[in-house]
Amino acid sequence: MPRFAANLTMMFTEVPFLDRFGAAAQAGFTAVEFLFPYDHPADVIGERLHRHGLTQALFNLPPGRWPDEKGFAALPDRFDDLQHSLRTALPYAQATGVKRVHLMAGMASRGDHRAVEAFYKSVAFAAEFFAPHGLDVVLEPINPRNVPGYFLNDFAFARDLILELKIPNLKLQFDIYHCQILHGDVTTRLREMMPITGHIQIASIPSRQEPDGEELNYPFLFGELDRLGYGGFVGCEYNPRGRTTDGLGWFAPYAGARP
Amino acid sequence: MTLSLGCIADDYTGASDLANTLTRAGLRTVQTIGVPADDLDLPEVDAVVVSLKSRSIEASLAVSRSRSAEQWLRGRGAAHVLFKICSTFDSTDAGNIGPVMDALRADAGATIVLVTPAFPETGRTIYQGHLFVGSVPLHESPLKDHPLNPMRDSNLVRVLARQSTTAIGLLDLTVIARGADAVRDHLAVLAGKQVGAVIADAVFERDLETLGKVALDHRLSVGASGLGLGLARALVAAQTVTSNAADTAAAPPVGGLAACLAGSCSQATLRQITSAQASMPVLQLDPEQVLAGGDEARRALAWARPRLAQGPVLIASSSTPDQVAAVQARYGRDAAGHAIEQAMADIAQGLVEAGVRRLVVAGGETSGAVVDRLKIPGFLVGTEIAAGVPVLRAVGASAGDMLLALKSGNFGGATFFTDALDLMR
Repeated sequence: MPRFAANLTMMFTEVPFLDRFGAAAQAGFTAVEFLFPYDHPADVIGERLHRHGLTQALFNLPPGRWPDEKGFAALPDRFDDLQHSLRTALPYAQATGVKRVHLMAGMASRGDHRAVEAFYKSVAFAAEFFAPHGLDVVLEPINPRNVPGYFLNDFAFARDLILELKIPNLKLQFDIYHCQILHGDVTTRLREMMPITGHIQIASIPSRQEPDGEELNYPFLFGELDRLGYGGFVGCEYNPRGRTTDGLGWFAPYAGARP
Repeated sequence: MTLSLGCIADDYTGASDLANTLTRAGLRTVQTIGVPADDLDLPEVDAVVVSLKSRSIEASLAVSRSRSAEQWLRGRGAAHVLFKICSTFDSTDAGNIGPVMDALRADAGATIVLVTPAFPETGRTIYQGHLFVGSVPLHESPLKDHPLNPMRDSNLVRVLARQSTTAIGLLDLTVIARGADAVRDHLAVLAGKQVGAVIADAVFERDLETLGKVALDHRLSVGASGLGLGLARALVAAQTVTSNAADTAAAPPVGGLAACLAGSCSQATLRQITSAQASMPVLQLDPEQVLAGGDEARRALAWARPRLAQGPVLIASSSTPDQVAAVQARYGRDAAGHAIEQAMADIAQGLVEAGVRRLVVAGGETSGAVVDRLKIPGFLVGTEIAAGVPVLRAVGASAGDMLLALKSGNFGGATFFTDALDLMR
């Protein structure tokens, strides 16, 4: 049975950010993820997490000047900022005990060889930086309809890079929503890329809402994750149709799951 | 229920125009007055337009009100939010369009925002980023002398850049003419250069349809009713919305007593009152009495109550321009206007207490005072009585189900009052 993580950036927005931990736990989640914790001190985040008995599944490294910037990894002139962002994130990783962080690529073209070289360099540097701390670095291809101009918009490119670099703590963040929009053929890609997948995310397509309808049959995909032996988290990165708790009917069979 | 489109309008008139445009395009639409309470019982609708009065207030206030409106809309599942601005881009270099856009964009994490005040059916078009009002550029139009927001620069890329913290780009007509995918590709190139918002050209309605389609890929857009139309067309084409919008507000019938109020002094309204005299009893208030402290509202209600059971009545505070000038000269312009609006609001309240559930109001200021007094948080927008004037069904009103028609002065033909009542069942 998959273990779901509530995405506190998109879910439970009825309450202020720090109160979303309690709201998620109340709704039966045992794990959470979010984009960025950096507006709050690391120990405050850790305290909220532990107070509610939650596991931190994932968060993103600092993105730079959000929302203009979405990371630095593919920006050749921003390597200093990238290094700094890793140091900023580390105390949050330690306070939460998270086992993986998402390295965002940034706004750049894959047709620009300088951007590609910068991305390889940043990815390797970040993975090596976090390895001694027992953390994986995950890379997420994002569809260009929602984020036009984002560097990493191809699952095959991400896969090839991960297989080529052969760094043990470098993994793929497989967002099924993005995969379906980018390429389709989700089940086959999950089967192929499962060995390098470190995190999974879900949402309905095309509305990016609860995974309980529209284009993909999520109950089948959840079963497939079990058949493939996926032991990681499934992040609920969707925009609720209304009140978050009103849309959790799909989640009822999975509430309270622990490893 | 899924809300397909949320809108935040920076003034009430613009909100009404947008809500009417969305309804005519096929979206079941509710317009709210201000940010609604959390527990507003929203009917099944496709779009909600939150009307704010944030066009000319201090930027920080405009930002905080717009953000609460956005949060309310997102909390009801709005996947896309349109920040509705004036089609002449009314704002000073201090805002408020740029600061509100920046704040909403940050909240939505939106990479790039489409911005276009174009509304071709009213003569607002944009080419190479320059806004035209009819045949002249904005800075040569009467808007150059607007008392609150004088518009002296027609280049909206420059205007928005002065207000926003993000880089502003141009999406020009040659790209838009090549269709949605060309626009998507161009946005990707601009976003890659860290452009956070683009002024989009639009000359024909089809340009706005292309922009509407692309905008739905994103969480936020900024525009006038023209972009609202483009978004609505895209939602209808995608079959996200399917029902007949205008009929939604008509069913089930409301019944109850009917009355008309006229506070406007426009030529059109004066003609409409004359015409109504043939089909309903009409009482003319005496503005002198209202201002002298006479209880005209009580007199009007005493006159109306026994007549309501037989059919609709009309109570008018409208006067000829000469009479208006005389009263204003004696009591001052603002005091005269305010006293008459409040008397009309008193009358509206009394009429509703007497069982009126179908109310036609002529006059923009009078309409505002009546809606305030009746504490109506929002309306479901129905079919049009005259161009720009739809039947409205109250949502969340303490009096329960009721229908209204709210008309600014110079709208509608001579038979407006009876036309309205014919459609308000």
